[in-house]
Amino acid sequence: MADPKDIGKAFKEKLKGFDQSPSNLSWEDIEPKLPKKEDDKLSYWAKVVGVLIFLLLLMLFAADTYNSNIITENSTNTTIKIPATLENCDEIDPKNSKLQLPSNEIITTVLVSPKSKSDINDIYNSTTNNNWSILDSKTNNGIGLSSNKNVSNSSFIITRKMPLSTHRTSKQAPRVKNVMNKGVEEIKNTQNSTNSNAKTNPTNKKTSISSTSITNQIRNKSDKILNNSRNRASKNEKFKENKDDSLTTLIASKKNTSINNRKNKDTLVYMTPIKKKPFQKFSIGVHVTPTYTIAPNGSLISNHLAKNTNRGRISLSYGVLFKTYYTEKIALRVGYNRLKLSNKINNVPTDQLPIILNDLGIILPANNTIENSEKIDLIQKTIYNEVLFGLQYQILDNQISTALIGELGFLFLDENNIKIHTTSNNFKLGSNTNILKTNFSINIGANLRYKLSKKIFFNVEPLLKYQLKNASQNSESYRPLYFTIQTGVSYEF
Amino acid sequence: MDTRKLIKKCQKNNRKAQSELFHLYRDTLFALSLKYCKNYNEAEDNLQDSFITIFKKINQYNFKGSFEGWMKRITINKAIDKYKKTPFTDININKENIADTEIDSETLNLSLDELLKYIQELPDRYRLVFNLYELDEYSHKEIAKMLHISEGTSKSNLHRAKVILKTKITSNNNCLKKIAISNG
Repeated sequence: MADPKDIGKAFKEKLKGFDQSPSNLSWEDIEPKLPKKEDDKLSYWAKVVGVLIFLLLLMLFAADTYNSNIITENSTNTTIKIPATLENCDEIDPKNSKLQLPSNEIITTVLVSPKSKSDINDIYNSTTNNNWSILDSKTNNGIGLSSNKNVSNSSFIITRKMPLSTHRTSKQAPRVKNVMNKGVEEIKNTQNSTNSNAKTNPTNKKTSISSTSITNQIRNKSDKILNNSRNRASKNEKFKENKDDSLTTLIASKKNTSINNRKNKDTLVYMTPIKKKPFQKFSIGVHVTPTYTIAPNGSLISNHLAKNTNRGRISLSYGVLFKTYYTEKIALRVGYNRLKLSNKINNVPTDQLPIILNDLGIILPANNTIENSEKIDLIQKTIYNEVLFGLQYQILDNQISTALIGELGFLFLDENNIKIHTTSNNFKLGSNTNILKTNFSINIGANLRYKLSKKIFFNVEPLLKYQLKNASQNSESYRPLYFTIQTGVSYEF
Repeated sequence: MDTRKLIKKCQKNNRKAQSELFHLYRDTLFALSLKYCKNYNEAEDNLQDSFITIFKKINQYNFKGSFEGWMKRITINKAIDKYKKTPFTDININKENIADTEIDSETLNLSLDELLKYIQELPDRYRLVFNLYELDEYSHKEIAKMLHISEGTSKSNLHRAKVILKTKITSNNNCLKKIAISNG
């Protein structure tokens, strides 16, 4: 009789290396039941492209808003006049310096009232040496030096035409200013953006207002021009009777004439853009975020727990937020959050635990035991690095201000663990390998802001966040929804 | 193809690689299923479920430890899941046989099919414990956690499984001997 052996060991020896082919099962039976990953991939990339397009649109919108601010800034303090005809040139109001301009040129006008002949000589010398032209304020005709004695008690306009790029109103006027009794009353820049013909028509007498060559004509025909001017003035009885009237009266009369003429035959359009200051403001802030997971149906851990009671728990997250205000109402938000989520599954049956652990690829730690009668709760904790992009629209802006928030969050799984909680024991089981490494979330909410000082604000932002993809690889759908209250301070600059 | 490359291709959901992996490990895992299941059909079902799970979870395999061991564990767990849910009643065994679980090699001179048949005929819990402890070298502590029973229960179940096996094999041999004697 052979040596007796333990039956277990005997079986092991006999069955060692035992292999057998299944007769009825083939690859064709398994293949249709495998997940179709190709479709998932396509869907995944479609989502990624969608997100990128959204971000691109966001950036374009922000850039557009920013550029429109710059344009507004450049147009500030510029009066644009669009003349219908060149004849309208003599209706220009010298007080307001609304002169017709050739495109790309700027005319600077200065209204002066010399008291003596010597003043007129100084004006003439100064202006001709600096490409300025002298015009009678009443007629807008040129004035020559030889006739200056006749206009010693009158006033005239001196003008200078310059290319737009070299125009320096405030720097070039003072040289003339020094010799004036009344000095510069008003300097304004005007620009004709549409009628470029005005500058090129040499036959039209009105262009003499702004032509540099007219200076020579003024010099040669000054007497004649002056006489014409005086004759014109004499035709107007009001002006004759009030020869000693002040310049103000004269200009007021001219204004009235000009306005009446405009009504009759002129189609001048004056556009004065609303002055807007460029708006660009930044804000940086830190916050802590109590986060409550609103546990949906299903389970992040295992499909076997889909029908168990799933309760959300409160955890504490934190992060930073950077905001760029492109207008007073709209701000771009970029942020980072260390987002912690937690939920608890109650009353897990003891006989399900090995199945669940098998799903997760977890082996129960050797130094822990669970009795059959014990009730088991499983606590799933996940920690994500969340990168945020979004927009904020200001509704109220007072001591306490409010805004609406829309964000897109990119979630990168950093840590996760499952803890087991029984009546007698608590211990960590391990990591849940089923949770997706990346996910997206859409966040909507509001910003409530309290002004602590001029630049420091206290912020409370209740936000509802919803993950767009299944958070777990389990076949059952599980898309976490969570409510956060971002509470912190921000600094604006 | 190198197993590592094959696994990586399977992780990318390459059907050809999955098919190759299936054919490579099919026999080993089917033999394992036969030991843990009641019969041939259930073993085939278990094999199918196991391969589906393996391909779904192959991304979780991190190349630490034996890949074959990882697949075997999934196959065993699949079988355990199935029989764990069925209600189980302990069987009374004659006291005289309790202590003795040894058998001589002549008595165990049986074919593989016969050996498998004896194992498959064991009650579910006893079969699982016997396979886990004797054939796949799990400890009683591990078995207790896997089956969610106490270590003592695991030891007791193992012993009873051995007694049943010995009783059946011995009685079967005795019958065969009697038949042989009567036939002359």
